[in-house]
Amino acid sequence: MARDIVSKAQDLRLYYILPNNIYVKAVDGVNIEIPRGGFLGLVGESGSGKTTLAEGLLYLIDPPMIKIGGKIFYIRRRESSSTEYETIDLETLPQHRLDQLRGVELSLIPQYAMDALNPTMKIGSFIKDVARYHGRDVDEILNRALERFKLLGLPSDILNRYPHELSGGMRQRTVVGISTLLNPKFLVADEPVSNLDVVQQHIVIDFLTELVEKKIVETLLMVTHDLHLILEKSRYLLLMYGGHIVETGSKEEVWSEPLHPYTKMFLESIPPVGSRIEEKKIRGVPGNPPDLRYPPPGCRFHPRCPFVMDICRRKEPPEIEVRPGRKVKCWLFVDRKV
Amino acid sequence: MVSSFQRYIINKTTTYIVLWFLAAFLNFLLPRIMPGDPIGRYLETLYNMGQETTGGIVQVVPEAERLRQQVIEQFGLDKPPYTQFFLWLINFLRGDWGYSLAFPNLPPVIDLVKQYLPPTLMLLIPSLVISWVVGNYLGAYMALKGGKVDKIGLSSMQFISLIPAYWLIIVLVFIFGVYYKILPVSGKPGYIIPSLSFDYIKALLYHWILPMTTITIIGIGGWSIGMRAYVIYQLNANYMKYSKALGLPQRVLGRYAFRNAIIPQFTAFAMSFGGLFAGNLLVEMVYGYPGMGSLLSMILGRLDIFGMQAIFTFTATMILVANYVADIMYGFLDPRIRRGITEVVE
Amino acid sequence: MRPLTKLIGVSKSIRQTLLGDLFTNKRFVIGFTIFLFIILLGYVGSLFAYPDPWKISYYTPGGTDRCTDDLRYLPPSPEHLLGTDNNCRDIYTWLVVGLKNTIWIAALAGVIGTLIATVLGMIAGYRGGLLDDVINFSANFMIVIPMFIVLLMIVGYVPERLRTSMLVAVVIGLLSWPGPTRVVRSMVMQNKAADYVDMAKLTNFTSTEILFKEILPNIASYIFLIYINSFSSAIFTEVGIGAIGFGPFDAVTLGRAFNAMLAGGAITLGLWWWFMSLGLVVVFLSYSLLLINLGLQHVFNPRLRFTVYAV
Repeated sequence: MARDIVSKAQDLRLYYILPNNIYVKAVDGVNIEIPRGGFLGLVGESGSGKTTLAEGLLYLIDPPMIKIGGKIFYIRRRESSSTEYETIDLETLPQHRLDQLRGVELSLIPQYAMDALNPTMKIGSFIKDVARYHGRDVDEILNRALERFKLLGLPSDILNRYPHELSGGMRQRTVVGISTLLNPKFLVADEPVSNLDVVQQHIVIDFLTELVEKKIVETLLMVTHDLHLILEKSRYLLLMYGGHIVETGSKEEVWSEPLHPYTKMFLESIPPVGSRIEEKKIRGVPGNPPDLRYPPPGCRFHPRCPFVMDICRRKEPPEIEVRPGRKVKCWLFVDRKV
Repeated sequence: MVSSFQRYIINKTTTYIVLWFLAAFLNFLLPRIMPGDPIGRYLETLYNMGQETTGGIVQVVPEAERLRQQVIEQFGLDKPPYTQFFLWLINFLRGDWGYSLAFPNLPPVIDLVKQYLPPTLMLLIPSLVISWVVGNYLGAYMALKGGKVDKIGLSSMQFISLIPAYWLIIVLVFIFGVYYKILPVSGKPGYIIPSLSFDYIKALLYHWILPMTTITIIGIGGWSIGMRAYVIYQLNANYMKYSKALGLPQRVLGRYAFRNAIIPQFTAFAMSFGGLFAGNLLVEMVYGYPGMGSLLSMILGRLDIFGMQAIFTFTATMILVANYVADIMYGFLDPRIRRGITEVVE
Repeated sequence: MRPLTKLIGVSKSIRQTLLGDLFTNKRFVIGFTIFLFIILLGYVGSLFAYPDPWKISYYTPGGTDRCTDDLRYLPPSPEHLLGTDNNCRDIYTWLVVGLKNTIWIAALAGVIGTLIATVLGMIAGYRGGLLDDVINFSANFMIVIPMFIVLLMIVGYVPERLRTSMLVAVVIGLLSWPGPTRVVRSMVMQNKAADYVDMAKLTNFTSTEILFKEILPNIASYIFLIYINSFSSAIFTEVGIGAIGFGPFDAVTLGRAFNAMLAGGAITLGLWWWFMSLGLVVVFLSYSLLLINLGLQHVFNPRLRFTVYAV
């Protein structure tokens, strides 16, 4: 049902154009529905295309990225009524409408968070601009910012500081605070804690979790390669490999019964907490992720797949919907419903 | 405890003082190692009562030789080099810039400069300011608009910035001076004696329009190209992507880009002073505008070592001061320097 | 990590694709065409000019050496493609001969300047230390004082009979090293930090060998760009000082032609073909060089190939 889904991508292809007209096929035919509500995870190796997909869902498509094909939808409550939902094709929105949605309903904690602040603006000035251009009361937002920043462990004079007067970790946390300031419905967090020390990581994760639990942020899609974190907090996972989504499902489903060979190997690569080194063999996933300029024919994973069949090398597998919300893209599951 | 900004200022100040001494020294040294006999040349002109001779050695006439010795002594050219340099420096800083050998009556150089500098400044400063402001806005507009506007704009500005000023003014003179006859063909405001009278200023302005327009047009070309590049650089920065991701509208993004892009333009502004001055001189010389250019054209080629020494040192000083001011201003504008990299307090 | 490849083998394939790219680059092609045209104008055009720019027009009935009023200021005609000047001399001859001379003066000045910049830049960038500080400081100093003013000082002091084309070329070259030196220096410093230099050091290459065999080939294309820049600015400079009468005294250059045009009253007499031809040649020469420069940059620097034009 519409209200259960907050964002949808239909046959989405997002490529990067390089000099000499070479394309990097970062998102190459993705069909997903992001369920509404809670903590969700988009997981994959570096270079799998997850950041591109995340930005794409928010329709943040700027050169050298281009949309070769497909549609991106955002599903929201209509303004007046609280029970009716509308599905918006983000491509059809005029720029000013898109700008209105951003920050307020669609927001991003970027991967480049440490670098995301304007070096010649005080933090406070920037927040004032954000508030003002979304028609909010500036003082109210500033106060909210101060409260939130305190929760994130940032100094009290932060509004008066310039970005270079903050450490990297502080800047990252500041961006987390700013991105959530207008209480967005759908928040995409791209590696929000990768560059933080353990203490700061906890602070940020607790902060985000609280926002989700209190329904201040309705849906949080975390993009990461940190499996531990995702398995602990999330309720639904999407696994990405080589520009394709290879498996989706609730955390319990994926953890207890991983379908795609990649998922299986990925999960097996985590040493369980508390285990001793000799006890559990850590395997990792042998091989290298594909070069997205020249992806392998057929299934992208076939060069590393222990279950590879002849058809895998030739044709790209279809997406099999085993159950609503449970998908896998693999030839092993064609003609077979679990 | 010295703040980092204060350290920045002290650093810059010392650098510029050293540079200034170097410049003064160079200006002192150069005429004295060049071939040619300035005193002889001067005496020759006296001897020929204003008639020009082309680069010859004065015929040694016994009286002339005695006269020459007198002149040398009077100007202190017989003292050892270090003393000369020292004396000259002190005099320069005191405002005694010697006497010009280019004119038979040996006018004090400083008087000449006082007369010829204001028109040049009148040309330099307004054209620099206008072309900088207009050029910056134009460049930012091109960068923000993109597409065809940008392509056509960029090519045009590139072309314009390459036109030699001393040629453009000729073309303009032809159009407006000869063909349409509304503006003067030469820069000299007739035979009116330079003074602060209203008449003189009016005449000066009339002759000022064409060179001013020429330099401003070419300047706009140059500044717009630079600003466009800086703005494009900002548009690709991460903070810009983030601001866009937060839904800040296009005009705000443009404002951010402009603000950040203009910072280096301030430095460029002051650094351009030197090159602009040189270009101005050429235009003045070609048009006959009564500024430093005309003064220089009267002095060059006559081996007037005192005149050249003083004027070139003065020019170098002006340029150094302009650059110094620019550096300080830049330090003030960029909060990273102004505030310094302070201790990060958690 | 890039291994110590046999540079010749690698370069050839790079060169092949480079040339292909170059000639598909719109800017480069247009610039190169214009430039070629102007060069041809200078050299081939000279064949159609009168042998001696100083002689009075050859088309005097009966052939005389005196300049008479009926030979002055002639408008363009088949015998005098651009007419004659106030001394009854052929303007077209002055243009093409001047063009030729200015070009070789600028070429020489460019070579000198670029050579000095390369050497100093490599020393400063690679050696570092005191030498680097000295070179850097001098460069910064000279950049602040515009080359033009210093040039004026020098040519102002030199009497006319000593002002040869060679001298002017050398002086311009000597004064133009600061800017390019800083660029070369920073390029060398960037390369120095690269992996392949550490590799070379490990395999016992000497410093100079590293400099010449490893770093230099990498920056060679940019040095060429620097040369084109120097060449272009030298043209501008020569014409500039020539126009005010302080160019070379021993030959006809574009600057000299400009001067003659100014002194000859071209403007007041409305002889637009005179000053328009001279000016347009200079403008298009500079513009074509700029286009070549932009085109080359585009091809050499893959990052630059890719500027985003709008938000």
